[in-house]
Amino acid sequence: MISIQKASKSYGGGVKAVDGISLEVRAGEIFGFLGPNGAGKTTTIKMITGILHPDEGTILVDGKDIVKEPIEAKMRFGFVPDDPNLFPRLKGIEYLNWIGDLYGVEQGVRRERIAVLSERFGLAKALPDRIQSYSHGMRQKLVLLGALVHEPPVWILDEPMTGLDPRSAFELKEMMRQHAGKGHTVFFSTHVLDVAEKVCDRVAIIDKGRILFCGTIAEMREHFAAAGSSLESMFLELTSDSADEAK
Amino acid sequence: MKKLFHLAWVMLRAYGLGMGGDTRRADLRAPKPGSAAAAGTSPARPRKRFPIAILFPLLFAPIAVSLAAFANILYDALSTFGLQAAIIGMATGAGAVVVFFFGVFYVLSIFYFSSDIEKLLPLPLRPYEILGAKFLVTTVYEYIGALLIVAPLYVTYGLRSGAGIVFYLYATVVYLLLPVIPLAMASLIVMVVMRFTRFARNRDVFNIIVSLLILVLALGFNFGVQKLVQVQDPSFVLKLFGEDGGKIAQVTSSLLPGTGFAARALATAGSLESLGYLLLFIAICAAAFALFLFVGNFLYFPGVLDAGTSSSRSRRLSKDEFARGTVSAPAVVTYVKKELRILVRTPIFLLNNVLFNFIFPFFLLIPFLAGGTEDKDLAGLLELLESDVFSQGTTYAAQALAVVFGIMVFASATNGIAASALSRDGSSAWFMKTIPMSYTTQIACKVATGVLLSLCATLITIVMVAVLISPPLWFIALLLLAAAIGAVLPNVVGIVFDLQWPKLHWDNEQKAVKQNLNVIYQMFLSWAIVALAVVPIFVWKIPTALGILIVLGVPVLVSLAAWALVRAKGAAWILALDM
Repeated sequence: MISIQKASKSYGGGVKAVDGISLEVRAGEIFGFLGPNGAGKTTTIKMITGILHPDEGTILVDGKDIVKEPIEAKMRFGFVPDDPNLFPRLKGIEYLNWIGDLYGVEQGVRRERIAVLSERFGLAKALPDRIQSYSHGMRQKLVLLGALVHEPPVWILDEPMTGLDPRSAFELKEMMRQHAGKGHTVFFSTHVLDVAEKVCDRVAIIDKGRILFCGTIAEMREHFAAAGSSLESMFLELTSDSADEAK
Repeated sequence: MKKLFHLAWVMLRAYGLGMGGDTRRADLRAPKPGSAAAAGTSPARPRKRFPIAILFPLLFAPIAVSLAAFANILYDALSTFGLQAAIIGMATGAGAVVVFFFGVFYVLSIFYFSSDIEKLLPLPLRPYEILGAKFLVTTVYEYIGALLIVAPLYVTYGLRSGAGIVFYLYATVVYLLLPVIPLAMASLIVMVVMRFTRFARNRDVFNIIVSLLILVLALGFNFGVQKLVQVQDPSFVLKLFGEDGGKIAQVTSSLLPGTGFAARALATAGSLESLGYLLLFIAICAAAFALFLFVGNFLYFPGVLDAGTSSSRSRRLSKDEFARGTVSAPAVVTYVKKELRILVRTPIFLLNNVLFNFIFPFFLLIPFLAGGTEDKDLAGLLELLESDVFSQGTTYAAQALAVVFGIMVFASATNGIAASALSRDGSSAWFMKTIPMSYTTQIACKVATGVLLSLCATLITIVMVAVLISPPLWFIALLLLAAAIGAVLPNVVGIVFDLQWPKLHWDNEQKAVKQNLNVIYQMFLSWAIVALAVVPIFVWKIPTALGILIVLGVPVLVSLAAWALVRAKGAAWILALDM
């Protein structure tokens, strides 16, 4: 689970990229984090993963404070960034094995997981190659595979579907369901509403650094019953309201 | 034509002037001058730039002054035979040769590895505009190196011979056009090779081979220059510089056609004949440029699109390979391994950060080899070292240790591994922040990687010292201690700089190591610390025991202080980075 309490972050002392948000992502659920470009999605994810420290507020990953107990917290999540820039001169297998060492995955377990997962993602034939020869989608799959090798209770995925071929996207969705099914947590950002609608147990919508809505898709429909239309129009309505407010 | 100049201007802005200095690494000793100018930092933490206007003259004044002094002595020697004009031939020839050598590097980096070609091709530009702009940019970079060689020699000649304004006017024209011919040749050679190796399986290997070849050439060049400077026999000088403009001018003008005319124009400046030579030189430059554009059109574009691509084998790991690839090890060991793998597999890093550790000690040996017994100072020093140093129990042992330690740090600081440790990670640096390993441990791994390679440099130095002067065992033991300290100091100092100002936003690996001011800071600070420890030994004739304590103690204290700083602040510095 992930618990965010009144977290804020501003860059260079100026506008707040994230403005006092609070979220509870529960165990056993797939949580979608929606918002237009520049809404604060990536900043939030960077704060959860420890890449940035929040100016205010606290963030707990599986009960561990990312600022106060960073190592313990980092052991508990696997993270896939939206633009997976990885050490291009390393070979796929070297990267995965490094991950195994970093997270202390026992040798036998690591071998089995790498073998199974690389087959499942169609990366088995790419493992001896250097990452620089990988396509964007393959890199994304490799990072994902890395995040799965240590089987963390929390997955944090930034725009995970971008760059994946349909088969891999399907596999990923399946795996997200399985992961949540085991009582674990999946937190992912997206701006593809269809994905959110099909996969998520709950969603939050962020715009201009604030949470506009948090709840199930059904609740969202209820909330905007008057509109009576697609998720897309609800989303547009939400974010354009906020734009009006800003004016 | 307007587009060509505009494009060249944009490229200059984009690459930064720093590229100019990069390849000055070729002479192994000079700290890369131009790299200073281009060393930017992450936009999130702008830093004050070191005043380049002060740094540059400081770095180059000694070279320029010694060249001018050399020309002055040569003028005396040659004027007795009436051959003083050979200085012009030599200056022009040497300038052209230097431009050519650097040119090979520049062309590789600007034409092939600057990775802007994919952005340029979709733009409405004609091939000759892209080629011409890149050529122009390279020419501008070459001016820095050429100025350093040519200016002191031309000016010395001009002053000694009492030349008029026409000479200086001609000299300026020649200087501005000097890079054209050698650069055209260098780019033609590189383009042929790059086009041909389209079929080579592994481009990285090819890059390394080319780089090594250039390194060997540079070493040979240096060896030759050392030899040349030491020769004072007039008959040899006559042979070298006499008859028909001298051997050097002859060789260069036959290798790089046209430079001979430039030299003759300058030597006869003022006469009608000289104008003819100058016009001829200009015409040959124009022809060389035209030839470059024409041939480049066929060779460059097909070759460049392959540069930077890498092949994949698309095969499954065998059971055995898989098992070997998935052996578990302590995380710090794998971390250091990863650093080493990236260093060795990236041609730019291999050349700049790794190979130098192995080559540098030999490079320092060149004066001994080239000088032989002709050089009285060196021979005397060797004799002194062999006979007196270790027997008398005076100040000599401390002095010998100070000298060797100085060489060790000089070599070990040049690799710049720790000073570019974060920078080299570039856009992959976010990884540091999400893995469950403390920042201090990660920093320690990066420092350890640098120390390991620096140890190669310092230990090779010991082997060389042992072979050259066969010191007693106790002194070798002392040197082993010095080797460890000499390997640690520059790396601990270097990491402080790179933690402060890492250069993470680059699109070209060169920018991480070659155009990285942190490497220069590391070198200068390490050398300064060693100077602080070494100089007193010579100035105040400090007794051996105390001397040894100072030589090794000061660097140890500085290293400890730097590490304490890293432990206290390192994590916060990394956290503050924007990635």
